[in-house]
Amino acid sequence: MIIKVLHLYHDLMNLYGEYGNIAVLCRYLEDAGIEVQLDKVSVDDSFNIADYNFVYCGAGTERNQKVALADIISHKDELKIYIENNGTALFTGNSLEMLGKSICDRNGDTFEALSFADFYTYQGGESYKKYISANPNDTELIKNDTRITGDVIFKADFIEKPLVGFVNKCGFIKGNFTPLFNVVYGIGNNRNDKSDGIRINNILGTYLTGPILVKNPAMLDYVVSLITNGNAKNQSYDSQNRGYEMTYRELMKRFNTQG
Amino acid sequence: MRVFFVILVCKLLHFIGKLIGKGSSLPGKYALKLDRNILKKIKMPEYIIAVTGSNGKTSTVEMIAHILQEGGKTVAYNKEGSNQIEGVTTFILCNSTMGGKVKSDILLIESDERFAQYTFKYFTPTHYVITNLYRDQLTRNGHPEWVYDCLKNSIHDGTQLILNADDPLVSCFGYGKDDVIYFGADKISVSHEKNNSVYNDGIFCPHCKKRLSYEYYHYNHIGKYSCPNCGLKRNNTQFSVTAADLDKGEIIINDKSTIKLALKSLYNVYNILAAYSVCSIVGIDDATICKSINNYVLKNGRVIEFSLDKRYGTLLTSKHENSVSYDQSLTLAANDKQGCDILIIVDAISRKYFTSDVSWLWDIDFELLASKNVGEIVLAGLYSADLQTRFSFTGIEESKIKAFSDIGEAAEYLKTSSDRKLYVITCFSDKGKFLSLVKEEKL
Repeated sequence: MIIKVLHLYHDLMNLYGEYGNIAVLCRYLEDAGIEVQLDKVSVDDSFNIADYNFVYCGAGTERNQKVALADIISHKDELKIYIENNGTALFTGNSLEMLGKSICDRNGDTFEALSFADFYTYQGGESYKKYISANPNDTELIKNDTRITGDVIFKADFIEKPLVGFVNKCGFIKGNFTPLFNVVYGIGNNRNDKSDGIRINNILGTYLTGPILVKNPAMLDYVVSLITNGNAKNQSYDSQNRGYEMTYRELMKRFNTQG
Repeated sequence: MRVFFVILVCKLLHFIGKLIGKGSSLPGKYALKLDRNILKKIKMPEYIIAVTGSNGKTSTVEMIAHILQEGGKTVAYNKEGSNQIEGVTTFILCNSTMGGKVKSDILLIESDERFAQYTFKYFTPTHYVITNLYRDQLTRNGHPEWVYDCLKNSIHDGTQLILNADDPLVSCFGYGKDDVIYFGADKISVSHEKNNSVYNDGIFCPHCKKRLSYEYYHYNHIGKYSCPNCGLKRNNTQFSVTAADLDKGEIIINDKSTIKLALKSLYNVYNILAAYSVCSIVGIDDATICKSINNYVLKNGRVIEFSLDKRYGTLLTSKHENSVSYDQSLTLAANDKQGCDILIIVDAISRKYFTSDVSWLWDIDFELLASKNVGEIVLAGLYSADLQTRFSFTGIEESKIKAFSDIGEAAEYLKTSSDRKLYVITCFSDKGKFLSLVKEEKL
């Protein structure tokens, strides 16, 4: 078996340590005896999403996100077919916002997005004002024009263990879509929705930021099983498992004392 | 509210706080509650120097203060390190007369990058040094462009900007402004054509987001760049490191002034250059600057010599959640030709706030330790398992790496593991836990 991995905008959507996701994924597949071909691409590179078995895009600064968005729009048709054919992809941090209808930034400028799901992104400042004027009764809104950064615990019934990680974003999303995770502690898609991320077939989008597959071995298992249709032998890495257990314990301790 | 009264309250609280060992931001907090505009009412001295940026603020401020004092000036500065508005208010009021006049010739302020916009609403610096913008404490700061936007709000007319020309994002503060002085390093012995860091924040032009081109790098995105698309380029510098020999520990500024380095890192060189520039601008003569900064050992305790039983070592305080800071420490250790062992401790990520996020470990160039100068690498602390995972991707042989979740056990092991020099790389939040187990040596 050969698995072809596409790391989208690796040098642009790289808020911190996102390449760790690709590093642990490729090691896992190789240790399971699977041949891996990794292609790292960026803006203006030519690539065809249909050629791949797994697509990954990480988080970026708000300005870099707009650059990536302008580029990925030119791959919209390929990505649409990829989704319909149940291809597997992971979008972490604000890269998931590209999958919705549009992104409104803090200056109030609106950018058309991929429209694979029915949701809209608001990135603070003027975008919040626009949202309030259209939805005067919505009390869920994050009022302050600040960034949301914080440790979180999420869970999902298709992943064996709760997820640990960090959110670092200034956008929230609203609309009609299937979320990916339930929020156990911390903030997900917006202040009061106890959900995080978005799922379209096997396209997984989460606001978890950074090397989330390093921190969550159970999620790595799940992503691998999607990519390989369950045909990869399970791998386990001791330090990775201990790192997860320790972080989960620390976060639970923290969140329980906070009440 | 009378200025006199607010200052009195602030000074009293500060006095009491010192007695009971409390932080320096509380008196300022109460002073601001009594009068939000108190800083507007203080008569400021002729020079107000502010220093901000991701890395090197405290060291740069300490050196500036030292040079100015050697040059015969009286200086008030926030040496207690509180750099948000409350802390700044405390030290300004405590250094004022009861009539509300700052007592020293020069006011020198280390300012937090994100909070400078609140401090400088009430008064504006005459000289504003911005050292660099890196990925730093992103669990609080978001990312460098977010910090840039915050910092931009703190810059007002009437301030002379003193900017690091070698940092493309920092240089953008000078865009369209006249009163800007740039400092930077020319092509020197340690410059290289390729960026060897784990990531490169200089790939895309901060102004137009097309690809930048680099003639050379000093480290990470610091170097000589130009944008073929919009024309952004490294500006000409008024203050330049024109030559540097880091092995020998010597730099030359503007082709004429030789300065010997107590700490042989390029990182330190930029701090010295920033201090040199601003002191020169406010009228300190070249000879005085060089004399006071020559072989200057920072007093802020970031480099600590120690002995652990029969072993000798150096602790390099590095900032957790700051890969550039770590890279500099790793470079220093990996270049020690005498040979060394390394201890890395990640136990509490921050002493000021809680987070369990270790994403930043993946931005650090631990591959630097794949050097023949490095013997054993010991990983310690609560997050030693995460460090182990990160190290499993460095290509460094597993047999060279040992991990302990307990710092005491790591220290016990190191007592007899070898007699090589030991470098300890860790943060403010964790260094005390190690230093309590060893004997500190005076330099």
